[in-house]
Amino acid sequence: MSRPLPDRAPAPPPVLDSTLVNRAKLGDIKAFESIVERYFGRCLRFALGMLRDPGEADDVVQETFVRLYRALPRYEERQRFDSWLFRILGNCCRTANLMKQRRDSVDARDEATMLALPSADRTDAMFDYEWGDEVRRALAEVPEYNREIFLLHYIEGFSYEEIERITGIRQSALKMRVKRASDFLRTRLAGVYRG
Amino acid sequence: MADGRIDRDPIVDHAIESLRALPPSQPESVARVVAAAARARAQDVAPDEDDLLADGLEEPRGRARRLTTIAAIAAGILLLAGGFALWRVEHSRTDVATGSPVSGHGAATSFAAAQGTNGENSLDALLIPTQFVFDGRARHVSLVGDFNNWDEGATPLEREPGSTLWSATVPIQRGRHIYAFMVDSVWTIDKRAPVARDPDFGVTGSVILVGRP
Repeated sequence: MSRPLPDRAPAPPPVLDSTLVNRAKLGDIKAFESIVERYFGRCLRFALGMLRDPGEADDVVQETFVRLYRALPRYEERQRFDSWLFRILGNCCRTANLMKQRRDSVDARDEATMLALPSADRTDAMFDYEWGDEVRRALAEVPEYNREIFLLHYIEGFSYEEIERITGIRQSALKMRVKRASDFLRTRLAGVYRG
Repeated sequence: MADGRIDRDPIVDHAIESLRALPPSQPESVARVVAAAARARAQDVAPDEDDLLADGLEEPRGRARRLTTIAAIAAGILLLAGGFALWRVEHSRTDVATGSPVSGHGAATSFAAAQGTNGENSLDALLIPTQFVFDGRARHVSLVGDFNNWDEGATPLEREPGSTLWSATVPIQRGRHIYAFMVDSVWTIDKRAPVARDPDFGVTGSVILVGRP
Protein backbone atom coordinates (compact mmCIF):
# COMPACT_ATOMS: atom_id res chain seq x y z
CA MET A 1 0.00 0.00 0.00
CA SER A 2 1.46 3.36 -0.97
CA ARG A 3 1.80 5.98 1.68
CA PRO A 4 0.43 9.51 1.21
CA LEU A 5 2.97 12.05 0.03
CA PRO A 6 4.23 14.22 2.86
CA ASP A 7 4.20 17.97 2.51
CA ARG A 8 7.46 19.24 1.01
CA ALA A 9 7.08 22.65 2.57
CA PRO A 10 7.98 22.40 6.25
CA ALA A 11 6.03 24.28 8.83
CA PRO A 12 7.36 27.84 9.11
CA PRO A 13 9.80 28.18 12.01
CA PRO A 14 8.45 30.14 14.97
CA VAL A 15 9.37 33.78 14.97
CA LEU A 16 11.99 34.52 17.57
CA ASP A 17 11.07 37.12 20.11
CA SER A 18 13.24 40.13 19.35
CA THR A 19 13.31 40.99 23.04
CA LEU A 20 15.07 37.69 23.66
CA VAL A 21 17.73 38.54 21.09
CA ASN A 22 18.18 42.02 22.47
CA ARG A 23 18.62 40.69 25.97
CA ALA A 24 21.17 38.16 24.70
CA LYS A 25 22.97 40.96 22.85
CA LEU A 26 23.38 42.72 26.15
CA GLY A 27 24.91 39.65 27.71
CA ASP A 28 21.88 38.03 29.33
CA ILE A 29 23.02 34.41 29.41
CA LYS A 30 19.53 33.16 30.27
CA ALA A 31 18.15 34.75 27.13
CA PHE A 32 20.97 33.19 25.14
CA GLU A 33 20.21 29.82 26.70
CA SER A 34 16.60 30.14 25.52
CA ILE A 35 17.86 30.82 22.01
CA VAL A 36 20.14 27.77 22.10
CA GLU A 37 17.30 25.58 23.38
CA ARG A 38 15.10 26.78 20.56
CA TYR A 39 17.58 26.19 17.75
CA PHE A 40 19.88 23.43 18.97
CA GLY A 41 17.84 20.59 17.43
CA ARG A 42 17.62 22.24 14.03
CA CYS A 43 21.31 23.10 14.05
CA LEU A 44 22.27 19.57 15.02
CA ARG A 45 20.03 18.13 12.30
CA PHE A 46 21.62 20.41 9.70
CA ALA A 47 25.17 19.62 10.90
CA LEU A 48 24.49 15.87 10.83
CA GLY A 49 23.42 16.24 7.21
CA MET A 50 26.30 18.45 6.22
CA LEU A 51 29.34 16.99 7.91
CA ARG A 52 31.65 14.39 6.43
CA ASP A 53 32.15 13.16 9.98
CA PRO A 54 28.78 13.33 11.76
CA GLY A 55 30.61 12.60 15.00
CA GLU A 56 31.78 16.21 14.88
CA ALA A 57 28.24 17.58 14.77
CA ASP A 58 28.02 18.39 18.48
CA ASP A 59 31.33 20.25 18.43
CA VAL A 60 30.46 22.16 15.27
CA VAL A 61 27.11 23.24 16.66
CA GLN A 62 28.83 24.35 19.85
CA GLU A 63 31.39 26.33 17.86
CA THR A 64 28.53 27.93 15.93
CA PHE A 65 26.74 29.12 19.03
CA VAL A 66 29.96 30.35 20.59
CA ARG A 67 30.67 32.41 17.47
CA LEU A 68 27.11 33.64 17.43
CA TYR A 69 27.18 34.73 21.05
CA ARG A 70 30.46 36.57 20.57
CA ALA A 71 29.10 38.27 17.45
CA LEU A 72 25.68 39.06 18.90
CA PRO A 73 26.56 42.68 19.76
CA ARG A 74 27.00 43.24 16.02
CA TYR A 75 23.75 41.56 15.02
CA GLU A 76 21.33 43.87 13.22
CA GLU A 77 17.64 43.10 13.37
CA ARG A 78 17.05 43.87 9.69
CA GLN A 79 18.28 40.36 8.87
CA ARG A 80 16.42 37.30 10.04
CA PHE A 81 17.99 35.80 13.11
CA ASP A 82 17.78 32.19 11.92
CA SER A 83 19.27 33.17 8.55
CA TRP A 84 22.23 34.67 10.35
CA LEU A 85 22.57 31.61 12.58
CA PHE A 86 22.51 29.20 9.64
CA ARG A 87 25.04 31.29 7.74
CA ILE A 88 27.45 30.89 10.66
CA LEU A 89 26.57 27.20 10.93
CA GLY A 90 27.14 26.64 7.21
CA ASN A 91 30.56 28.27 7.48
CA CYS A 92 31.45 26.11 10.48
CA CYS A 93 30.35 22.95 8.66
CA ARG A 94 32.33 23.78 5.54
CA THR A 95 35.40 24.55 7.61
CA ALA A 96 35.04 21.27 9.50
CA ASN A 97 34.65 19.37 6.23
CA LEU A 98 37.73 21.06 4.81
CA MET A 99 39.74 20.10 7.88
CA LYS A 100 38.41 16.57 7.71
CA GLN A 101 39.29 16.39 4.02
CA ARG A 102 42.80 17.52 4.81
CA ARG A 103 43.17 14.89 7.51
CA ASP A 104 41.99 12.13 5.22
CA SER A 105 44.05 11.40 2.19
CA VAL A 106 41.30 9.17 0.89
CA ASP A 107 37.74 10.09 0.03
CA ALA A 108 35.85 10.50 3.32
CA ARG A 109 32.72 9.02 1.84
CA ASP A 110 33.82 5.51 2.64
CA GLU A 111 31.68 2.81 4.10
CA ALA A 112 33.03 3.29 7.61
CA THR A 113 31.86 6.89 7.63
CA MET A 114 28.47 5.92 6.33
CA LEU A 115 28.10 3.25 8.98
CA ALA A 116 28.96 5.79 11.66
CA LEU A 117 25.98 7.93 10.75
CA PRO A 118 23.72 8.20 13.77
CA SER A 119 20.14 7.24 13.36
CA ALA A 120 17.27 9.58 13.98
CA ASP A 121 15.12 8.95 17.02
CA ARG A 122 12.61 6.76 15.24
CA THR A 123 10.51 4.12 16.97
CA ASP A 124 8.25 3.07 14.10
CA ALA A 125 8.60 0.15 11.71
CA MET A 126 11.90 -1.42 10.73
CA PHE A 127 11.32 -0.27 7.17
CA ASP A 128 11.32 3.32 8.30
CA TYR A 129 14.52 2.73 10.23
CA GLU A 130 16.22 1.18 7.21
CA TRP A 131 14.79 3.80 4.91
CA GLY A 132 16.04 6.63 7.13
CA ASP A 133 19.46 5.05 7.22
CA GLU A 134 19.52 4.70 3.44
CA VAL A 135 18.42 8.31 3.03
CA ARG A 136 21.24 9.58 5.24
CA ARG A 137 23.77 7.45 3.38
CA ALA A 138 22.51 8.80 0.07
CA LEU A 139 22.51 12.37 1.35
CA ALA A 140 26.14 11.99 2.42
CA GLU A 141 27.02 11.23 -1.19
CA VAL A 142 25.44 14.41 -2.54
CA PRO A 143 28.16 17.00 -3.22
CA GLU A 144 28.47 19.43 -0.33
CA TYR A 145 27.51 22.54 -2.33
CA ASN A 146 24.27 20.90 -3.49
CA ARG A 147 23.57 19.23 -0.16
CA GLU A 148 23.76 22.47 1.81
CA ILE A 149 21.18 24.21 -0.36
CA PHE A 150 18.92 21.16 -0.38
CA LEU A 151 18.99 21.01 3.42
CA LEU A 152 18.42 24.74 3.85
CA HIS A 153 15.45 24.68 1.50
CA TYR A 154 13.63 21.43 2.07
CA ILE A 155 14.65 20.54 5.62
CA GLU A 156 15.11 23.93 7.29
CA GLY A 157 12.37 25.63 5.29
CA PHE A 158 14.23 28.68 3.97
CA SER A 159 12.89 30.22 0.78
CA TYR A 160 15.23 30.64 -2.19
CA GLU A 161 15.17 34.37 -1.60
CA GLU A 162 16.33 33.86 1.97
CA ILE A 163 19.00 31.34 0.95
CA GLU A 164 20.29 33.85 -1.58
CA ARG A 165 20.73 36.29 1.29
CA ILE A 166 22.45 33.61 3.39
CA THR A 167 24.85 32.29 0.77
CA GLY A 168 25.13 35.07 -1.80
CA ILE A 169 24.34 32.58 -4.57
CA ARG A 170 21.82 33.53 -7.23
CA GLN A 171 18.38 31.93 -7.01
CA SER A 172 18.63 30.30 -10.44
CA ALA A 173 21.80 28.53 -9.31
CA LEU A 174 20.19 27.58 -6.01
CA LYS A 175 17.25 25.94 -7.77
CA MET A 176 19.62 24.02 -10.01
CA ARG A 177 21.52 22.73 -6.98
CA VAL A 178 18.36 21.61 -5.25
CA LYS A 179 17.23 19.89 -8.43
CA ARG A 180 20.57 18.10 -8.76
CA ALA A 181 20.44 16.96 -5.16
CA SER A 182 16.86 15.77 -5.61
CA ASP A 183 17.73 13.95 -8.84
CA PHE A 184 20.68 12.29 -7.14
CA LEU A 185 18.57 11.13 -4.19
CA ARG A 186 15.83 9.86 -6.48
CA THR A 187 18.29 7.80 -8.52
CA ARG A 188 20.23 6.60 -5.53
CA LEU A 189 17.15 5.57 -3.52
CA ALA A 190 15.03 4.13 -6.31
CA GLY A 191 16.37 0.64 -5.68
CA VAL A 192 15.45 0.60 -1.98
CA TYR A 193 12.20 2.58 -2.00
CA ARG A 194 9.16 0.44 -1.36
CA GLY A 195 6.42 3.07 -1.40
CA MET B 1 4.92 25.72 -0.72
CA ALA B 2 8.52 26.62 -0.30
CA ASP B 3 9.59 26.02 -3.90
CA GLY B 4 6.44 26.14 -5.98
CA ARG B 5 7.45 22.98 -7.83
CA ILE B 6 4.83 20.65 -9.16
CA ASP B 7 7.05 17.69 -10.06
CA ARG B 8 6.26 15.85 -6.86
CA ASP B 9 8.22 12.66 -6.54
CA PRO B 10 7.34 10.12 -3.84
CA ILE B 11 10.93 8.98 -3.33
CA VAL B 12 12.27 12.49 -2.78
CA ASP B 13 9.25 13.52 -0.74
CA HIS B 14 9.64 10.60 1.63
CA ALA B 15 13.39 11.19 1.84
CA ILE B 16 12.69 14.79 2.84
CA GLU B 17 10.18 13.63 5.43
CA SER B 18 12.74 11.25 6.87
CA LEU B 19 15.46 13.91 7.04
CA ARG B 20 13.17 16.32 8.87
CA ALA B 21 13.16 14.11 11.95
CA LEU B 22 14.80 16.19 14.68
CA PRO B 23 17.50 14.61 16.84
CA PRO B 24 16.36 13.87 20.37
CA SER B 25 16.47 16.73 22.83
CA GLN B 26 19.85 17.05 24.55
CA PRO B 27 19.65 19.34 27.59
CA GLU B 28 23.22 18.52 28.61
CA SER B 29 24.50 19.57 25.19
CA VAL B 30 22.61 22.85 25.46
CA ALA B 31 24.13 23.48 28.88
CA ARG B 32 27.59 22.71 27.51
CA VAL B 33 27.10 25.12 24.62
CA VAL B 34 25.87 27.91 26.87
CA ALA B 35 28.79 27.45 29.24
CA ALA B 36 31.30 27.49 26.38
CA ALA B 37 29.73 30.64 24.90
CA ALA B 38 29.75 32.39 28.25
CA ARG B 39 33.43 31.52 28.74
CA ALA B 40 34.31 32.74 25.27
CA ARG B 41 32.54 36.04 25.67
CA ALA B 42 34.07 36.54 29.09
CA GLN B 43 37.47 36.14 27.48
CA ASP B 44 36.58 38.72 24.82
CA VAL B 45 35.75 41.34 27.41
CA ALA B 46 35.84 40.84 31.16
CA PRO B 47 33.42 43.37 32.66
CA ASP B 48 33.32 44.02 36.37
CA GLU B 49 30.70 42.03 38.17
CA ASP B 50 28.94 45.17 39.30
CA ASP B 51 28.44 46.09 35.66
CA LEU B 52 25.81 43.40 35.41
CA LEU B 53 22.41 43.44 36.98
CA ALA B 54 21.00 40.31 38.50
CA ASP B 55 19.02 39.52 35.34
CA GLY B 56 22.09 39.83 33.19
CA LEU B 57 21.29 43.23 31.69
CA GLU B 58 24.04 45.77 31.94
CA GLU B 59 23.77 49.20 33.48
CA PRO B 60 24.36 52.07 31.05
CA ARG B 61 27.52 53.10 32.91
CA GLY B 62 28.96 49.59 32.70
CA ARG B 63 27.93 49.27 29.07
CA ALA B 64 29.66 52.51 28.16
CA ARG B 65 32.85 51.37 29.87
CA ARG B 66 32.58 48.04 28.11
CA LEU B 67 32.05 49.69 24.74
CA THR B 68 35.13 51.80 25.34
CA THR B 69 37.10 48.63 26.04
CA ILE B 70 35.69 46.97 22.93
CA ALA B 71 36.54 50.02 20.85
CA ALA B 72 40.11 49.97 22.12
CA ILE B 73 40.47 46.26 21.37
CA ALA B 74 38.85 46.70 17.96
CA ALA B 75 41.21 49.55 17.11
CA GLY B 76 44.16 47.36 18.03
CA ILE B 77 42.83 44.49 15.94
CA LEU B 78 42.22 46.81 13.00
CA LEU B 79 45.78 48.11 13.19
CA LEU B 80 47.13 44.56 13.30
CA ALA B 81 44.81 43.45 10.50
CA GLY B 82 45.81 46.40 8.35
CA GLY B 83 49.46 45.63 8.82
CA PHE B 84 48.86 41.97 8.13
CA ALA B 85 46.84 42.76 5.00
CA LEU B 86 49.69 44.92 3.67
CA TRP B 87 52.12 42.12 4.46
CA ARG B 88 49.85 39.65 2.63
CA VAL B 89 49.58 41.87 -0.44
CA GLU B 90 53.33 42.23 -0.65
CA HIS B 91 53.91 38.50 -0.20
CA SER B 92 51.15 37.59 -2.67
CA ARG B 93 52.82 39.70 -5.31
CA THR B 94 56.11 38.05 -4.56
CA ASP B 95 54.60 34.54 -4.68
CA VAL B 96 52.90 35.01 -8.01
CA ALA B 97 55.83 36.79 -9.59
CA THR B 98 58.22 34.02 -8.68
CA GLY B 99 56.00 31.12 -9.62
CA SER B 100 57.13 28.49 -12.05
CA PRO B 101 56.40 29.21 -15.70
CA VAL B 102 53.39 27.29 -16.94
CA SER B 103 53.30 25.45 -20.20
CA GLY B 104 51.22 22.83 -21.93
CA HIS B 105 47.50 22.60 -22.49
CA GLY B 106 46.51 23.88 -19.08
CA ALA B 107 47.74 23.89 -15.53
CA ALA B 108 46.94 25.11 -12.06
CA THR B 109 49.81 26.15 -9.84
CA SER B 110 49.71 26.82 -6.12
CA PHE B 111 52.27 29.22 -4.75
CA ALA B 112 51.77 28.13 -1.19
CA ALA B 113 54.70 25.80 -0.84
CA ALA B 114 56.93 28.68 0.17
CA GLN B 115 54.82 29.15 3.27
CA GLY B 116 56.35 26.02 4.78
CA THR B 117 54.64 23.52 7.01
CA ASN B 118 55.10 25.08 10.42
CA GLY B 119 52.04 26.38 12.22
CA GLU B 120 49.65 24.60 9.90
CA ASN B 121 46.58 25.22 12.01
CA SER B 122 47.08 28.96 12.04
CA LEU B 123 47.42 28.93 8.27
CA ASP B 124 44.20 27.08 7.63
CA ALA B 125 42.18 30.25 7.34
CA LEU B 126 44.64 32.00 5.05
CA LEU B 127 43.74 32.55 1.43
CA ILE B 128 46.58 31.55 -0.81
CA PRO B 129 46.89 33.15 -4.27
CA THR B 130 46.71 30.30 -6.74
CA GLN B 131 47.15 30.67 -10.46
CA PHE B 132 45.06 28.77 -12.98
CA VAL B 133 46.17 28.64 -16.60
CA PHE B 134 44.34 27.37 -19.65
CA ASP B 135 45.96 27.10 -23.05
CA GLY B 136 43.63 27.04 -26.02
CA ARG B 137 41.64 29.06 -28.52
CA ALA B 138 38.39 30.39 -27.12
CA ARG B 139 36.23 33.47 -27.00
CA HIS B 140 35.74 33.32 -23.24
CA VAL B 141 37.22 31.21 -20.48
CA SER B 142 36.23 31.21 -16.83
CA LEU B 143 37.01 29.15 -13.78
CA VAL B 144 34.46 27.27 -11.70
CA GLY B 145 35.22 25.41 -8.51
CA ASP B 146 34.17 24.71 -4.97
CA PHE B 147 36.03 27.87 -3.94
CA ASN B 148 33.79 30.19 -6.02
CA ASN B 149 30.49 28.34 -5.59
CA TRP B 150 30.75 27.04 -9.15
CA ASP B 151 29.73 30.43 -10.39
CA GLU B 152 30.64 30.72 -14.05
CA GLY B 153 30.64 34.48 -13.90
CA ALA B 154 32.78 34.82 -10.79
CA THR B 155 36.28 34.19 -12.13
CA PRO B 156 36.92 34.99 -15.80
CA LEU B 157 40.39 34.19 -17.12
CA GLU B 158 42.31 36.88 -18.98
CA ARG B 159 44.06 36.07 -22.22
CA GLU B 160 47.67 37.05 -22.60
CA PRO B 161 47.83 39.31 -25.65
CA GLY B 162 49.14 37.56 -28.75
CA SER B 163 48.87 34.07 -27.25
CA THR B 164 46.38 31.37 -26.46
CA LEU B 165 47.23 31.42 -22.75
CA TRP B 166 44.46 32.38 -20.35
CA SER B 167 45.07 32.83 -16.65
CA ALA B 168 43.52 33.95 -13.40
CA THR B 169 44.89 34.09 -9.89
CA VAL B 170 42.43 33.28 -7.14
CA PRO B 171 42.83 33.41 -3.35
CA ILE B 172 41.96 29.94 -2.05
CA GLN B 173 42.05 28.27 1.33
CA ARG B 174 44.54 25.50 1.95
CA GLY B 175 43.30 22.04 1.12
CA ARG B 176 41.96 19.95 -1.74
CA HIS B 177 39.78 21.72 -4.25
CA ILE B 178 37.91 20.63 -7.34
CA TYR B 179 37.60 22.88 -10.35
CA ALA B 180 37.10 23.05 -14.10
CA PHE B 181 37.33 25.60 -16.87
CA MET B 182 34.25 26.83 -18.70
CA VAL B 183 35.55 27.29 -22.23
CA ASP B 184 32.89 29.16 -24.22
CA SER B 185 30.44 27.79 -21.64
CA VAL B 186 31.63 24.21 -22.15
CA TRP B 187 32.80 22.31 -19.06
CA THR B 188 36.48 21.50 -19.65
CA ILE B 189 38.78 19.73 -17.22
CA ASP B 190 42.39 20.75 -16.75
CA LYS B 191 44.24 18.05 -18.63
CA ARG B 192 47.42 18.68 -16.67
CA ALA B 193 45.78 18.12 -13.29
CA PRO B 194 44.56 14.96 -11.58
CA VAL B 195 40.95 14.02 -12.22
CA ALA B 196 38.58 14.26 -9.26
CA ARG B 197 36.69 11.19 -8.21
CA ASP B 198 33.89 13.30 -6.80
CA PRO B 199 30.84 13.19 -9.08
CA ASP B 200 30.39 16.95 -9.27
CA PHE B 201 27.54 17.97 -11.52
CA GLY B 202 27.59 14.46 -12.94
CA VAL B 203 30.92 15.06 -14.68
CA THR B 204 34.51 14.87 -13.55
CA GLY B 205 36.51 17.86 -12.47
CA SER B 206 40.17 18.53 -11.82
CA VAL B 207 41.88 18.50 -8.44
CA ILE B 208 44.33 20.97 -6.97
CA LEU B 209 45.99 20.68 -3.58
CA VAL B 210 46.63 24.15 -2.26
CA GLY B 211 49.25 24.72 0.37
CA ARG B 212 51.21 21.52 -0.16
CA PRO B 213 54.74 21.50 -1.49
